[in-house]
Amino acid sequence: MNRLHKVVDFCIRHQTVLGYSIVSLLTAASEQIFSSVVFKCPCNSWNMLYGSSFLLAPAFILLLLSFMVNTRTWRLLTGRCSPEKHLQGIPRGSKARFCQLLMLTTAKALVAPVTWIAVALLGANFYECAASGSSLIFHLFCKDNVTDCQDKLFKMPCGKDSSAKTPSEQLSLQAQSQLIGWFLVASIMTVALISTCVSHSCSPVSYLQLKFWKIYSKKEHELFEVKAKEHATKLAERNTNCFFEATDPAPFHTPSNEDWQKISILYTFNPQEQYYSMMHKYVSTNRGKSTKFEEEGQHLTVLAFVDEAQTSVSEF
Amino acid sequence: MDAFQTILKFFMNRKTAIGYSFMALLTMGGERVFSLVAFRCPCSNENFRYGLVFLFSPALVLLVIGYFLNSKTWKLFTGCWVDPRKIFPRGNVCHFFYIFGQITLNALVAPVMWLSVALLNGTFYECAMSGLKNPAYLHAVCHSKSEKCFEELHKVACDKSSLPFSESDELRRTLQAQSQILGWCVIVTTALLSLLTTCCASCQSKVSHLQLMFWRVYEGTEKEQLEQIFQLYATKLSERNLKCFFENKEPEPISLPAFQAWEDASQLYSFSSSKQHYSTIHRLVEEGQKGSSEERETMLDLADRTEIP
Repeated sequence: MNRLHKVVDFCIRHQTVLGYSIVSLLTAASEQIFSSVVFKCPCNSWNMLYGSSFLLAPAFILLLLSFMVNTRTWRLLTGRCSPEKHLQGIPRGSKARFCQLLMLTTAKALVAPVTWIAVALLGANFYECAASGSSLIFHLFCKDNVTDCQDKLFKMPCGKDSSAKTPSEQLSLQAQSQLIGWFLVASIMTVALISTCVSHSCSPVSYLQLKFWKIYSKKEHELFEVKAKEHATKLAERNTNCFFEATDPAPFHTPSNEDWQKISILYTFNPQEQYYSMMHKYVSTNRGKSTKFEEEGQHLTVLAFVDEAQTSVSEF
Repeated sequence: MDAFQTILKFFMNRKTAIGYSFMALLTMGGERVFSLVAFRCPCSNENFRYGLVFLFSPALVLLVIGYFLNSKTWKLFTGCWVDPRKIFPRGNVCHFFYIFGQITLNALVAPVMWLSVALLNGTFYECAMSGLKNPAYLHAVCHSKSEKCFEELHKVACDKSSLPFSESDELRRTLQAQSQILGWCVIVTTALLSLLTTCCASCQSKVSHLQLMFWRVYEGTEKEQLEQIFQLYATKLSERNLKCFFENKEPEPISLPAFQAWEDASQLYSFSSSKQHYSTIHRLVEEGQKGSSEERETMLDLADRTEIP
């Protein structure tokens, strides 16, 4: 029991890394399944369309799914075009913040699609099929204008043609695919490393404070869930009891629409104050009534995690 | 015990994702079973009809089941014949179509999953299209093949044609490739449309993000509370009635909501931006139990999608 407890604790502490690893493993596994069970290269003029659809369509779908699942997307979008005046009253400069956060969200959502494309390219089946139908490869391999070269090229992924020339071309296409795959993986990793380094080196917040801040954010979101459930239970109990007993409802304070809107604003960093979240700022500035609440701060990439609620209730 | 609780909480928190994955796996399994056990392409001129029936009838069945399982359907239709004003309230005729549209979109998930899995498999489409007698299509498919292709295409799916193996194999591969490309198109289009509609709805939301989160929690909790209180009152009332029946006594009064109160509470909730009510019952309790028919704006009702009525 104790060991199980330790394992569960370990999983919870490293849940981000584990989450990403599981997503990558699932992508790799489904690529293998698709490649061996579902994928049958038609070996004619449909090659290019077929191969590219298997390469790109799942990546696109994974991108859309990642957007839908990422809670920051919904935090950014909710109420943007709302006819309600107070929701539209977005402070100056937050268009830049919106774009910055949208880019960060896209970058995070790109993990699964890029994994799919990299694994698919390393597997080489889809690229081989698509390339054997592409006019670029045709011009590359059929320079000497041998008759039926186009046909031989189409049938290459099916391994039908037994002429001596074909196997080396097939290997060549597979090699191309794997090279492109490795290049993609390496470049994405490099870009990710460089951007993380840059954002951390430009951070006005020290390392230990950043660590504390992340823990505070997580705790605040967890407690928000707990408190929201408690509050909702009390309100629901009061309402259903009053409905059945036909009595007048006891006064029950619940935050107003404006209060909710104030704590949903995107967070900005101000070095003069030390607020760790919008809720912290709200309660420290007389429930958002003081002018200090309106003060704008900086939009920092390294603090983007503050707006990322990892609560369960934000599922679509 | 604590560890199990944590694991359970983890899975309960992701029950939407787990639900959809389970539905997808079930669809894939069902499609495999169908195509292996039940599906036998007739390889005659009936191919087209047979293939299409196998492709679309399970989708239709799943759509109907989707309608049945959505509790909003029953909330919308209960009593509508007796009082048509319920679904077409004065000044708000589009309300019915808006809600019905939402219900349809929710019910369309399973059929679209079936269609995409069936198309990705390729068997049903291959059978259907090999029986299509459209001259333009036949010309496109039998493009560089022998003359026999035009007459014997419908036998290709069972490998019973007199065409050489390489030709019939290529025809089958082409048909399967078409089917799979079509399947991917269906999935991509559906995913894109659902993301766009969710984004639009979210964008035009009249409440902020955190309040929307709280609202979802409240709706879930209110549902649980209602269940509990139904059980409680039902037990009390039936106990009283049976006791009085058997002991031949006078019943003591138990207060229950009036008929009109039930009617008002059963209305689908419409959000009003000036008030802060999280459900129909909340509004009724705060404003007193009278039939309120003021101008209301409709909003995406967050209530349940799949609940057995």
